[in-house]
Amino acid sequence: MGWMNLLPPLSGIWSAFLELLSQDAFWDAFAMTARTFLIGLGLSVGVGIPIGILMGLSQRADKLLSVWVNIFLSAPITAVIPALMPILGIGDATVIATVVLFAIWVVIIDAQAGVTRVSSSLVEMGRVFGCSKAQVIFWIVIPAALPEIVTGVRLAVVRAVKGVIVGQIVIALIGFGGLFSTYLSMFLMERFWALILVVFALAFTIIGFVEFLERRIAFYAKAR
Amino acid sequence: MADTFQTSAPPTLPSLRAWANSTIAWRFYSFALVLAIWELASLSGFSVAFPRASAVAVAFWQMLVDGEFTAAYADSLPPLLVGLAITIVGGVIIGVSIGLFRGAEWFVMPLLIIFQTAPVSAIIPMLTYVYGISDTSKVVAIVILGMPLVALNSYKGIQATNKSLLEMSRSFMLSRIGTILLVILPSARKMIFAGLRLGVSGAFIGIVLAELLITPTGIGDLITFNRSIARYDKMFAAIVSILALATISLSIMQTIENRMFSAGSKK
Amino acid sequence: MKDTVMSLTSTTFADTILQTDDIGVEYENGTVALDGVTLDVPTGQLTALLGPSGCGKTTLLKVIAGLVMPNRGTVKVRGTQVEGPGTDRALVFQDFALLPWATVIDNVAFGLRARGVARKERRETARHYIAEVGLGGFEDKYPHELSGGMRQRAGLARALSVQSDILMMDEPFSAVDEQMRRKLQEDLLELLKVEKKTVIFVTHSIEEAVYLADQVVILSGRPGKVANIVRPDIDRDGDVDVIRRQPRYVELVDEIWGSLKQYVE
Repeated sequence: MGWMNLLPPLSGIWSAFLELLSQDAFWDAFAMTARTFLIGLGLSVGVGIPIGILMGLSQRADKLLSVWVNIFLSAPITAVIPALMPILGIGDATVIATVVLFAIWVVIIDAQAGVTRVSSSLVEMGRVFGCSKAQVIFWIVIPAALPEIVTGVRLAVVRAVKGVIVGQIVIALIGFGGLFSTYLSMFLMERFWALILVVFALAFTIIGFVEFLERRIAFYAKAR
Repeated sequence: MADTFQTSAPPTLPSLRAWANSTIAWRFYSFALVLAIWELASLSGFSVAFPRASAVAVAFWQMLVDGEFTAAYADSLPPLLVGLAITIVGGVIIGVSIGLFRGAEWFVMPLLIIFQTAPVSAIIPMLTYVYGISDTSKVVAIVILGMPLVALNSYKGIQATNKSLLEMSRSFMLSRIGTILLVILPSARKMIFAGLRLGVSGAFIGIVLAELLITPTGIGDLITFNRSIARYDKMFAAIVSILALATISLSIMQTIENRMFSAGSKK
Repeated sequence: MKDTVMSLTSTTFADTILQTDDIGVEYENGTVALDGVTLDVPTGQLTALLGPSGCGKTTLLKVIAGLVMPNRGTVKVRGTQVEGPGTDRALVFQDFALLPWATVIDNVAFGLRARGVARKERRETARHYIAEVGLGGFEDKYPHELSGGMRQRAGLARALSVQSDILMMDEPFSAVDEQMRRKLQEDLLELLKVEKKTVIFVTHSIEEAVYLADQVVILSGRPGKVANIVRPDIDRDGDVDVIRRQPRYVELVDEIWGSLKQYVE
């Protein structure tokens, strides 16, 4: 089959896009994707940041966990998705788990890096002025690590977007992944590309928004 | 200087405690901890599809002895290596070229950035229609997922050349070729090499995706087949094998990288 | 000369607020940073710790601050041994160490906050010292909106606001340009006429030490030891900007350079 059939004209993709917007199946898939993405990202951030901070503060926690964090940071997590399906079922849980497995490691790594990179003179300043250890951590170390933590969250968003799509595509029955495989098997290339464009546009909107947020606290890093 | 939280110098440790604190020992604790959690989680019996770590280890050994891994990797490794070679050579050439000759920058960069940040894996299933159920599909999937990362890093490496080094070369009347060979490429080496690691990481994702979605052979098939017959211990063993292979490859590259760059430039 | 200095310090022993006795610091990698530093710091005076970079003067200050525990020797403030940071000592940092996310007033009030002073009260105190160091009107600015000199004024106000008797300054003016440095030095002398503090001032600038200090402790490098103690007999009662024109000032700078030269590699 030639490339021409696979790449329909833009006008066709545009009308397919308008058609998509009127379909319940699309909005169901959209809702499912948004839900699993947000829950998965929330879990990654909510669990990843405390773990990263702990690893930054405690050398033991770091030595115990860093090997695993580094393994999963760059390993092909995609291979794990087939194992999640029989355990968690064909549904939200598997996709959420995929998102977490894609996104959490970079949150941990960056939070840890942020904490270890806090300027030693800020910590000394806290100690000189009589802060307790907890005060040094909550008043100085964590706020000072915020730029790296936010960077970690931004990278996690990129990975979570990939995770939510890869998860659905490997499962191939639910969400956008279900739509993708239906369109492909029925050779509805206009719809396939329309959906690709929608997914890419969503991805860039989300990532652009997070980059905007990150820039808003950029003065932090500048002031160091 | 010492850890900012601990002011006093640590006392010298007796040898046994020193050993118990060594990097290797901590690595051991780390693995023991995770394997123990896995074993206990499985023993709690929350899912039949979640085998015990020990059962997976047994299955892993059997598959190794029975040649199941050998057969699977005989199918997976050749396309992986071919795809990786194209990824690396193509990625470095593209990245370096757009870094050096800014003409194509406006066109190639947005494409690279899209391929890097967007969930391009959504396109992978479509490859079936172009290349069919074949090794070519695997190679293309690898290149799609790996090459943009290599190219972007090479480009960034070229871009990050120290401006005053460039001015220095100009003031010494170094030719353009001379500047590229003696200043720009050496200073970009580190970033380019780091990009290769990202490329390898992407290549592993590519081969797994292709084998799960398009061409059911090799390690991907070993995973899906064992799932379909509910041999979850073997399924996990297959997953562990590919994760381990990726991790070992990447850490070998990291070691080479550290050796290469520890002596020379510091950054 | 050394002998006369020693007798001088021992006769003023009653007025010594802080003493270090045989301080030795060795880093984990085996480098000896300080080797037997014994020192008296007279009450209400400015003592400068002067030496080439790497001579351990900042380490000595951190030992006095209680941030670094020495391997041997003791630091005593009014006869009480120092076990860590304390309310009797406040530190001004070389890199300012201001919290980038906090306004000037919150930065200045930080030490009081750590001591549990109520918000209203600590802001009042902070406001007073901000005005005193000449930063009035900048209370609600963030550090990145200030010049280097202004940042260090905030650092100084923070150290003053906890009202410690001993003010430690770690190369406080080394991160600002020469003109600003002179201004800050002059302002510091003016300020010390109002705030009666004992100041321990680390510097690598001979001119700065002679200009500011009542007692200059010259440290030799690697390992750090007290090489000499000089008491610049300079009249600081008059206008601060005439000091640099006194013949004695120039002589002293030259003398100290003569004795320091041998330690500079």
